Amino acid sequence: MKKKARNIDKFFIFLGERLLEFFQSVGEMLLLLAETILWCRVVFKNLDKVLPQMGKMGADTLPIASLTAVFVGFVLALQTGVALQQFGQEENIGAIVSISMARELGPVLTAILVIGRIGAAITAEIATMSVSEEIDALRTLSINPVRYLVMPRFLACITMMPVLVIYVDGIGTFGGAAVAKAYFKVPFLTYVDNVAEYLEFEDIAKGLVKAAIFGVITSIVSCYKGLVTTGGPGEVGLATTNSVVLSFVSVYVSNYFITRLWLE
Amino acid sequence: MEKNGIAIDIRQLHRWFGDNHVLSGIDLKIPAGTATAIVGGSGAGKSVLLKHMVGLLMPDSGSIYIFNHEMPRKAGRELEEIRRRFAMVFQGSALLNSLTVGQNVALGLVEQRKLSPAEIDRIIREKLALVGLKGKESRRPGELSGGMRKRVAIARALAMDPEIILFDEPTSGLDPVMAENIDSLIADLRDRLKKTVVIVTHDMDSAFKIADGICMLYEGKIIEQGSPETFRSSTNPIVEQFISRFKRHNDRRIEINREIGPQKELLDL
Repeated sequence: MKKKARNIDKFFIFLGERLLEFFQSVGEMLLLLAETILWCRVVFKNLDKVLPQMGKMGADTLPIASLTAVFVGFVLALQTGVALQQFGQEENIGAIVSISMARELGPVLTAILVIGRIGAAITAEIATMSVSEEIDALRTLSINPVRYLVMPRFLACITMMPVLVIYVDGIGTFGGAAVAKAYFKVPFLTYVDNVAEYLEFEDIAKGLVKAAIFGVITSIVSCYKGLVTTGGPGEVGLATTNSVVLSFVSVYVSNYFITRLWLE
Repeated sequence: MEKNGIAIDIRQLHRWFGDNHVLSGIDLKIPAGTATAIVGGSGAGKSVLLKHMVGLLMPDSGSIYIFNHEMPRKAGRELEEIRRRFAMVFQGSALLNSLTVGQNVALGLVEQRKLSPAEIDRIIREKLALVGLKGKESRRPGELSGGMRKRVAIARALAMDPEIILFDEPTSGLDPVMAENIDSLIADLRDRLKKTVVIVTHDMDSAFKIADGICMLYEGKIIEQGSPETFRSSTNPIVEQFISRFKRHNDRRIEINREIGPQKELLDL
């Protein structure tokens, strides 16, 4: 009986500690976000750091984004085409593909790509700097690491994510057009007319707002996980994995709540 | 005026990491314009003490005064003002690998935005020449040996023209010749440039050679403090044991060096 009680105690202690750690991390991430937003006031003096980050993010993500978007467009058109064909509604493939891309797939897919390609690299880079005392070195040179490292990555993520989403939406929609033409004999102009008729500006705008929010999440989680890393190279790998998983989960959860909010 | 006073005054400094009482009531005064060595074994709390001096770590209790100004407990403009009086050379050099040697040396000055690019270029060349790395501006840190990286880190520290320079294990991982080079460079900083120097080391040779004062940390406490002469003649058994073990270890290292011949570090000189 006593042993059982001790185990229950241990369980609750474990649970309590994890919960405290979680809330502490969330609090620290929000503080990092607030400090980063404050540092954005000196963005024009730091364009030499912001612009390369934006360029790097675009260049690194564009090839994989193109490939992913075009195949998602293909498969979306294929799946919806087969279903619509049963009702003789193939001309509506364009509307379904473009609305799906604009509202959900574009922002979420882009976020996943950016997390994997850029977020992981941000955490690995900053974590390596943390464990090799480079962040401390910046502080001793009176350089604020949030201004020097976090703010440029934050701005690159929130500006480039919507740009990438527009690109992914476009490529996905045109990928859908290719499959609609090849397999369901839907003429390109019919497809485009259908897209123009049903896709509303609001669909695209909401997708872009989501993208910017996912940009905030990706950059802050990735930078935070890098900054709090201590120890050695082993911890860098662990921090990168944790950062990617936490970013994914945060994006999925926030995506649901944002969508839910807009439906009300 | 301040140059003749106490540069760093540490009073009753305590620091815990979890249950581990890493620094336990440290009292230490470091006079301006002198070189002080903090020695001790691994895990004695030497680097933690050094990081407290520059405000990278904050004490749980106790206080630190830098030229009579109390070190603030929170990050902010006041702390940055105090940090401007310092430069620190880290154990692993802590050069930014994404930048060239020249950009690393210029980093603090470029971010301060007070000097013109031409003036910054002049300082980079001057400081690199001072540490014997003339013309290496465009090299990447990854292309340099350990000794050269240490010297770049020293040049970066000097570029900021600090009053106090902190060295964390400046000779660790270096061969004896390179270690002696770094020692001479540090002694020169104190003698010629009149900088206050604090060196954390477990290399007693370095400490005896450079330091005006030595203090030994053991289990988070200062167990011996004084000039190199008083330190050598200390009757504290832990100090005696530390010095004799270091001597034995060093003799063995010199013997091995003699057996395996000159190392890469020597070729970089």
